[in-house]
Amino acid sequence: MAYYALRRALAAIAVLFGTTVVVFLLLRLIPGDPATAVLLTMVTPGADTAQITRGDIEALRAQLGLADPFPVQYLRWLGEILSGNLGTSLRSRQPIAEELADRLPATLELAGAALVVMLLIAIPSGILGALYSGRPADHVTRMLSLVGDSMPGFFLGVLLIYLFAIQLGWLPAIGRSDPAGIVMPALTLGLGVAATTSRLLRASLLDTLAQPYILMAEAKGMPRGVLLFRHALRPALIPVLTSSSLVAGGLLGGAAVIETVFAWPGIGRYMIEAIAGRDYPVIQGFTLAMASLFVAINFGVDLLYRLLDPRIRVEEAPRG
Amino acid sequence: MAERTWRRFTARLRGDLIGILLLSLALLLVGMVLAAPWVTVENPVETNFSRVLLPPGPAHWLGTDDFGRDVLARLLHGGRASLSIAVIAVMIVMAVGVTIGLIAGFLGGVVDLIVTKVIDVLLAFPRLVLAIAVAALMGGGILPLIIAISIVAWPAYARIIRGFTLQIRNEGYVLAARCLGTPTWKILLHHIALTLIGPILVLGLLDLGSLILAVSALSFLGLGIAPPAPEWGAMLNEGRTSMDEAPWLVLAPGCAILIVVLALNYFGDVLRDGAEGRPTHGPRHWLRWPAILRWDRGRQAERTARWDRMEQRVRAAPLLELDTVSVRVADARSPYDGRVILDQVSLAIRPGECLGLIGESGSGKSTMAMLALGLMRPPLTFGGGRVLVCGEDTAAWDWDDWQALRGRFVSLVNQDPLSALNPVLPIGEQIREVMRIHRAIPAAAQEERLREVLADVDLPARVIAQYPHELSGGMRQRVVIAMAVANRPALLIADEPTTALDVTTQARVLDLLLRLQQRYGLGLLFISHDLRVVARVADRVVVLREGKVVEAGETRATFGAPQAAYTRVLMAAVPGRRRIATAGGF
Repeated sequence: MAYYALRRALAAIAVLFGTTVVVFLLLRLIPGDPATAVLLTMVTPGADTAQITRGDIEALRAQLGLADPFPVQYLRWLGEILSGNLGTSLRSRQPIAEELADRLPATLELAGAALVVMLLIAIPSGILGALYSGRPADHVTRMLSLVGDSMPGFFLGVLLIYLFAIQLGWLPAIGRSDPAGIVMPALTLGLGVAATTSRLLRASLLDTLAQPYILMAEAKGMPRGVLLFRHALRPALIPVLTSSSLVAGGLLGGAAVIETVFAWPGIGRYMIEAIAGRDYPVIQGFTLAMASLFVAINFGVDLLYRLLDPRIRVEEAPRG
Repeated sequence: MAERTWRRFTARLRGDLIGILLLSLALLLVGMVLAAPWVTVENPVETNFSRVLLPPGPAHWLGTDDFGRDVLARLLHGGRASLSIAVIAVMIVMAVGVTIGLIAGFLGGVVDLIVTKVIDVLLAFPRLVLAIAVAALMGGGILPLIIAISIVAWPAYARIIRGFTLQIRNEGYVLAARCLGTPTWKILLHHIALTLIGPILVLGLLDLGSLILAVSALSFLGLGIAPPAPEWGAMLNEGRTSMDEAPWLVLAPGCAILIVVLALNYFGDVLRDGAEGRPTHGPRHWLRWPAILRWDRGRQAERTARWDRMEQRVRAAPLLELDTVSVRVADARSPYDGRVILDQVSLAIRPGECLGLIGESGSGKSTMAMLALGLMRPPLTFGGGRVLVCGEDTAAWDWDDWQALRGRFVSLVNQDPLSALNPVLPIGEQIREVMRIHRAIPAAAQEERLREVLADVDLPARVIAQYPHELSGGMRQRVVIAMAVANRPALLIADEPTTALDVTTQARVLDLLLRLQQRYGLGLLFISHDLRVVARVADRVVVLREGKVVEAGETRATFGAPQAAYTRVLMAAVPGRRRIATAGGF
């Protein structure tokens, strides 16, 4: 296990290095010259851009290190981020790492609540779908999970605001100041990712219920609850863990959109504000932070998967 | 392939009202979007402040927005942007993903290594986050949107196609083509790409829905088409501000996205089912609500009374008695509908006796085991006769009546020890729970019995903490036997208990079963296709053929002078049968 964990950790670190290369290259996507683009964001809107002189641009290029060859630029940047420096925001002039750290708790809180919502929906509906497969209850949960899959998160969020905040006035429409404010964003985000998990659990549970050891447990005289929850659900949940990468991706990616809808003060909204202000270093820092978080989550889930399934706990071979 | 998929698809849709409704709604919407200039004469971008925020009505079916623009016109023209961006992105993604996946899978080596690493890295980003970053840095607009979506979507395709290619590369016909010296590009194109075209198209269709969602999400964030031009996600964002007075501004584009994506996903679901097939047999009916609610106190009292009666009779009455029992398949969908599995079978097992049941596969032996445990289930149904357990008629018993007896009065040891144990529970737990469920005994006594029963089956105490995969087949079968005898049942059903084991293990497990039968005074129903094994353990034998009892009697007499022709045929098939005849009866 320790050997396996070490190997996976090394692989995760290698992938993280890959992501830094991608994030570094991202800045090259900015049309035109980065230095000019940065300068353009610094002038007040509406001002005459002709006042930017060639000299200004060259000075900034030198300052940003843009005159050096690519690999040198990359290595210097890599050194910076390894020492925890993600650069400075062009708008606020604050270190990006600090600004992200300030807003991260709000996003984690939202993602955690959404995860709870997801589990509360996906597990019962997955069980229901499997137990009543081919019957009305199955068709209903199936249809609902299709709708959940097909519903744009921002549309659901806006609908919830209209219904519960504007029409009924039960919940605050936006913001994090009221504790009840988390209800709607968490619901929106959680519903969006519940469908996948529910469907996987249904399939996995159907598969498990058909296993000979379930028949054996029944022949041992196990009562219903023991059969379902202990003998069937426990092994059935393990393969469902493989969907957690999708779920985590959905939660992290969805956060940017949902936080915008509900004006939730997390890192997703920070990113969208940065886009509006053409704050390129922030976009870069955010993307890198999200990728690291995602890689870390996937790494953790991978280990958890091994721990939970005694069958592969002892093997050292990489799976699939 | 395409034709079969299409036939399956139409077959599934027939009678599926929701599906038909959904698909026609989506097709209508897409049709109107394609024909937008002819459906509506309104200009989707021209502002007209004399008709701001009009509610839906005859003049403007979906109302107007805060710039006085007709929402229907904007919806239909906006749909052209949303849908065409997604379709173009899907085509780019498919082309790029397929090409790279094919090349990586076929060439292997360094190329494959680099491609898989790049894919790994790109998949290390949450999809939407990377798409937002790319679109944002490129400045927004249609082209950046398409590029952003494509960059995040191609790796998943490439990975799948690479997997397919690796598989096909080693198929006979591809190897043959390589040996004949066919150029690589020709093999790729003719042999691999053409095989993959079906799955790729299905994949693309399945993904179109999620790409439409991604496109609209990016547009919603303001990373799509520049403002006056309409687009569904952007329209929804613009409509948010005046939502309280004009909810139609949000509802129209939101529902449009939902309908199209829902139809695509529904369609994809049907296709996927067609490709993978769905299990037709649902799980056990007793796990469902109505069955659970039937549990009540009256029945509980009845069960206790019955148990007392059975305890008194257990030394005298036959443990299991079948009286002209018939079983047949009753399922209109099954090809075996109406087939008779057991035909007027009568037999009885007395306390402490070992009854051998012999028959070839398909003769109804295992159905007999399931009958004895009350585990017979659809599509099998009773065709008549009575099953008596310790003198009690089981006709009216439900699942819970049987549950109280299983593992306590009657136990099962079945054929395949490899799959009979739960893979995620330790051995000790699986034995303990049989005791815990059926009788309330103190934990210390339970632990003592656990060790005792493990000693009975010659297993070391260390297996308590082990998992099934850590034990050999023979050891696992011993665990199953330990579970079966833990509560000292009166009757043990052994359904081909040694078939899956190797010869030496077989002999040891047989000896163990006989020893335990003596020790616990077990009634044993020993089911096997193997004459030699049955001859060694059984006091009496019953020979079953195609659901009928063809011969029954004392083991020695039956094998010494078989009456039925079928028994003689069975015996003739056993090598060295003389020794059986003399050793018979044991």
